[in-house]
Amino acid sequence: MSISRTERGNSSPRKIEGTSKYLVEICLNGVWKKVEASAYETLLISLRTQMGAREVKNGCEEGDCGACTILLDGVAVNSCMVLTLQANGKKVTSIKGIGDEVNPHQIQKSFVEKGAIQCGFCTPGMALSAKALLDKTPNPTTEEVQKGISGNFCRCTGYTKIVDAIEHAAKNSSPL
Amino acid sequence: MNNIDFVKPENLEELQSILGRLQEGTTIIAGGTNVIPHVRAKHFSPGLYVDILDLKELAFIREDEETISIGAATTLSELESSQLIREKSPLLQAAIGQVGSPLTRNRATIGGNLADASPSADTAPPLLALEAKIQILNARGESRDVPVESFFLDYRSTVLKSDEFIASICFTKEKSGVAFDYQKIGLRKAMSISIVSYAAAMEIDQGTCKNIRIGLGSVAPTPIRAFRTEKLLQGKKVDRELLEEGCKLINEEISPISDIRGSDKYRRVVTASVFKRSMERSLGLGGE
Repeated sequence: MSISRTERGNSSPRKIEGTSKYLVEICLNGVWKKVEASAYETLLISLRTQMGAREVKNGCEEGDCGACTILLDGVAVNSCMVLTLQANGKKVTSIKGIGDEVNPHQIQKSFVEKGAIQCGFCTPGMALSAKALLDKTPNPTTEEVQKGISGNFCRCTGYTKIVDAIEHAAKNSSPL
Repeated sequence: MNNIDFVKPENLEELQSILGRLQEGTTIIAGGTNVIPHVRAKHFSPGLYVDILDLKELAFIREDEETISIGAATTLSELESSQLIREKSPLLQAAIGQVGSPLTRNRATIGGNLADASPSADTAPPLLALEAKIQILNARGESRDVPVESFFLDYRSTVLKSDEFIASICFTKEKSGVAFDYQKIGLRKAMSISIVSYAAAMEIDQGTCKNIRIGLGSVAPTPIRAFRTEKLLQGKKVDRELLEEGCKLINEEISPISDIRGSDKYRRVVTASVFKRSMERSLGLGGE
C-alpha cells in the first residue's frame, strides 16, 4: 500500500537572486507567512526569529528534549530537526494555534487544573505532543500517555501531574 | 554554513538527474534527524541538500506472495503503525517502536537509519536477522541489491557510491511458527542510544534450533550477524551446555568499545546474557 502523504509542499523553494537564501511560504496557525531562510536554518529558528513565534521554545537544538515540538501538517515533530526549506507549503501549529486564554483547548485547561505546569518551559511542546496523542488515541492507557510524551523532557514536575492532565483531558474531550 | 543550496525533486527522475551532476557536497536529506545534528556539529559540510522525504515513489510498504518491501523514505512512525508490519514482521516493528521517541519516529526514515550507518542503527539488527536486501539505485536508474550484512563496510561507512541512494528494503516473509526476539538494552526506555541490541529469528523443532539468524547492534564498528554462533546452534538440540558455548562464541564475534554509555567489558557481559536469556525464553528452558 502506498502511504498517503500531504499533497502540499511538493514544490522546491525558490532561490532569491543574488543571495544564498530561499523564499518559503509556511502557514502558521492558519496564517500564511513568507520567510527568507538559508538552507542551514531550522524551522525552530525561523519560527522564533522571523515568524514571531517565541512560544516555540529552544531547549537543546539536537532533537533530544522536545521543547521545540510543533505540529507539522498535524504531525508532532521537533522543529529543530526540520529545515525551514523543508517546511515550504506546509502547515505549522504551535501551542497558540490550539487555544488561547479566551478559548483554551481542553488540554490547556486540564494542564492548568491538574497542576501540570511549574516553570512552563516544556509545556508548549508537551501539550502539542499530548494533542497529537489524543488525536490518534482518544482514550489512551497510562502507558500510552507515557509513551506519547516520551520525547518531551520535563525537569520540574516528575511527569505525574502531566500524565494526570492528559488523562483528564481525554476524559473531558467531547467525542468527534 | 552560509552557502548551501537546496532542491526538492518532485520525482525519481529528477532525483537521479541531480545526483548525476556529481556536485560537490550533495547531501540527501529525508527526516533530517541524523543529518541536521551532524551538520550542526560540523561533522561534514553539505553543498547541496536534496530533500527526498516527500518523494511518493520512495514511501511505501508493500507485500507480495513471498516478500515485504519498504520504501527508503518511509518514516518509522508509518512502519510502527502499519498493520501489515505488525502482522507479518513483528520483529521489525518491535525494534522500530524503541527508536528515539514519537517525535523522532515521525520524521526519521528507515533508509536514513541505514544510510547513516551508526553501529547502533536500530533497524539494522532485525533486518540482519530477516536477511533483508537493500535495493540501491543510481543516477542512471541502474539497480543493485545488496544483502544488509554486506551493506556496512566500517564505522559509518557503507557501499553507497556518491551517485547512489537507497530505494527500498525488502525481505522474505517468515514462515508461521518462526520464533522472534528483540532486545534493546539502553539507559532509558525511550530516547536512548542502544548499548547492546539483539534480534533473533529461528525455527524451533522439539528443542532443536534451525535456520537461526542473529543480528547485533552497538557491539562492533557496524551492525553484524553472529554467523559463527548461528553455525554452532544450527540443527542442534539446545541445552545449557550449548548455550554456555554460544555465550563464549558470541563474545569472540563482537568487538565492542568503551564509551560514555558503557565499557567494552559490560557490553560483553550484556551480549552474552541477552543471548542466553533470549534463547532460554524461545526454547522454554526457564532461566536460572
